Amino acid sequence: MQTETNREAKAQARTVLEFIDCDVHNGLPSAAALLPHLPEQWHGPYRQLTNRVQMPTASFYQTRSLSGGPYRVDARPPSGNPPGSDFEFARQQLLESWPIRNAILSPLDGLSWPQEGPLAAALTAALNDWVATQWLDRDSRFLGTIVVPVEDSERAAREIAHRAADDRFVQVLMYARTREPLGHAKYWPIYDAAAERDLPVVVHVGGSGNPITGAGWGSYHFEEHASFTWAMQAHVVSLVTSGLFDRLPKLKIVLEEGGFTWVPALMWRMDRAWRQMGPEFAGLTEAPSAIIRRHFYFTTQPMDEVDSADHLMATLRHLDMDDHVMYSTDYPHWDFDAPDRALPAAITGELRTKIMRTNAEHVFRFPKPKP
Amino acid sequence: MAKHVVGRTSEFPADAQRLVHVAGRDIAVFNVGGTLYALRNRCPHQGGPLSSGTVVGGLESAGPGDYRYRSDRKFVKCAWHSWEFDLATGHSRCDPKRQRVRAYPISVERGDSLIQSSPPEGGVPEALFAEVYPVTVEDDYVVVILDS
Amino acid sequence: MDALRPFLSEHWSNYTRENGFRQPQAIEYSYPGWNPVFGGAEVTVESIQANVLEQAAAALVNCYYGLECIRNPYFAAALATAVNSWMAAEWLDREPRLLASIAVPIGDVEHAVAEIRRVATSDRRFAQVYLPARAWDPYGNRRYWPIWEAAVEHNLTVGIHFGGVTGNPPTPVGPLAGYFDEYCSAGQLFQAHIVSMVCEGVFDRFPTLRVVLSESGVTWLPTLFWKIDTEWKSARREIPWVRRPPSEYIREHVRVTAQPLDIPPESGQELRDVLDQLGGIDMLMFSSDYPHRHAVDLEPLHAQLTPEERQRFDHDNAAEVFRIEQRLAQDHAASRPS
Repeated sequence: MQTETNREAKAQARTVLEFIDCDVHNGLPSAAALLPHLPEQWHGPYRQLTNRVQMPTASFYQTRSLSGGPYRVDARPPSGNPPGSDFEFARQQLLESWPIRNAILSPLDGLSWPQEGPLAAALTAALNDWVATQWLDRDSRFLGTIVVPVEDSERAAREIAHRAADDRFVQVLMYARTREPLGHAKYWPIYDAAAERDLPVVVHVGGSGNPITGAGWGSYHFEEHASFTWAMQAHVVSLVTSGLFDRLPKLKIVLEEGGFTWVPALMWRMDRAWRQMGPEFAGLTEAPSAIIRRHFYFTTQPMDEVDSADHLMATLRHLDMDDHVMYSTDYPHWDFDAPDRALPAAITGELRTKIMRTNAEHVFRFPKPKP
Repeated sequence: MAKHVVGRTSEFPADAQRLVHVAGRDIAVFNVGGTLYALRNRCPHQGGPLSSGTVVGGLESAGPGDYRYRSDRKFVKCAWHSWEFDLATGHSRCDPKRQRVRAYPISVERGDSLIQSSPPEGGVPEALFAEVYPVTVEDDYVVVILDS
Repeated sequence: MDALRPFLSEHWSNYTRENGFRQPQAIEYSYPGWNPVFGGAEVTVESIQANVLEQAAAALVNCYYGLECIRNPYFAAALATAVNSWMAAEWLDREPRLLASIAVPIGDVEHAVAEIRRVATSDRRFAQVYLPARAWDPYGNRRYWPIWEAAVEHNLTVGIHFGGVTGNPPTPVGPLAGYFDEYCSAGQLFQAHIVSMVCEGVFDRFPTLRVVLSESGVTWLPTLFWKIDTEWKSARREIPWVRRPPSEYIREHVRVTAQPLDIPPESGQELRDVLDQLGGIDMLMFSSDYPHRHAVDLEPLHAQLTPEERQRFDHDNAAEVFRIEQRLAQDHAASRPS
């Protein structure tokens, strides 16, 4: 389906202030596109890599009711390649359609790859190379994410150390469904490597390993979509109590696509339990909500539809993290949030500007302009 | 009320869905098995393009495991978030009273009747057709009626 | 075990002596005695009379026995019968203002249904089927439908209660580091169950079913509603029997006990906001959670309620959902609290 002129949308878009898009998904046009970046010794194993059933979405919940799969139907480039794989088409549909200062790319191809071992390390390094040459080199508005083998923290740390020399890579990618909660010591070398270079760690929807809920496997994709929120909640609890933030006081964790309206109730629960069971029992010398407010950030997409703007604003007050919420489109996924429509009108003025741009400017270290 | 010619019928074959630009409005035109529909192109949710959406039959249910597909009732699922809109009325499936999109009367008229009646106002869609249509007696045209 | 032996068969009474079985491990795991909130108090009929029935006209007693972690279906069934029989003899027979939940062997649906029928047809003082929040499957799953069928047949609520142990880790990302972590994350289990029940059409299939969430934390409800109602507009066609926004089914069919209420201390505005977001007090019911010590002061909540709302919260919502008046003995029918 060709992109056709949508004049009204363009007119509307012009009313949007320049913003930073914290979550955009480019991706390989084909498996073969990775080969030029992958050392020869890994070509054979890569070719033989069947799409291991890594994602429950892809395997157990195939009745999801979306015409384009995970994508917007109109995001398919004319080439027929997957949405997000065609640089020029994506640039047109995103950077040229909206006043975007920067868009942070995180390809999710790694979700169907192994998450540990030397092949995993080679593949993620090759993917990062592909992004650097095919995207970052071609438009300085695009920024990159360091993709790593998530369950193999030593190899992941090595890739972070290597890739961070390129200051266009501004964050490290972890997935929401991991084998262990993210506070687990096995992941600490990743955090060490990221924090050392002032890189936030983003936790993005995706991944597999355990049943999708703590009560077992649901039957419908509807439930699976909801379950990422629960994974994020478990990670927050785990990270807060793990002692990681004592070790890395500057570490930033960005939760992406998991929502944020659930955070106040979790803060209230954790604080109440901390007060009642005692700081010693919880192993925390300060209230969990204080730790959450210092170290966690959230992207807005997908925004919940809330009938009453007052209700949403109340939850934002409960959250009290105006400087920690950042706008993202999630282009080209189906639950894309349009920049002019996603934030309710009740979010105005300084708060809107923070969410759309200035918060991200403080979270990410943007590369210095080249002379 | 004004009639606007949006093109020849041959330009809207069966199962076509097209975006046309008419009198300052983006309008999604659908030909579903010979029946024409016209909806305002902008989804009331976040502005997604309905012309890129997927046409589906109605799906209702009397209870768990019961699936009633209604091929006689047509909906378009918005290309972005899959909200369903009744092609005939523009009402959304999930919140028909409050979430709806404008549906326009659309019909086919022969050239000779168009020439004989008052000339269509508003001009021709520029998005797809650069040239002005000479309306000839023999051809059939798709006509959308807008409030002026 | 000695307390239960009179209610076990000769075989199980002997077998548990032979193998040294004392109690399901799940009890200690769910409510560890060394925990500041759960440890210490010994509960007796007298202590309930003194600590609960001084203020409350009636009380629903939940005995968590950890049957979900007993994989042997026959042992689990035998224990369920024993626990329920013991509840009737040692508690309900001694205090007419008490009602109870039915312990069921959730791992074997046939046995669970048989036990529900056995108890409910002979003893109307059992008002609810007890299920732990940790589970082998989300409770909307079709394999559990015979249990809901038996529950509605006998006008029993289905109670999903904090705690439990099964083979599933308690989160989608594996086991957590310690008890505090698991306690903090427990809300998501309740959410998974009610989302499952909506998606699977349980409330459509069983329109009179009422589900009670106990010790759930409560304040996560409004934002869950927003999320699933948003999702429904996009994903409706996968579950077309969900004909209305998912939150409407939950508002109609689900009730929550108040304690422990996850709210900041001395909360005024936050409580007001959550009540506004919830649309009122209809879903909430007073609870003490005696003898657990994680209850919060309810004065801030009471301060937000009109007298009529207070009446519903303290008494009427529970009286209705548990059918208290029909269940209590006529001469001890619950009177309205002063």
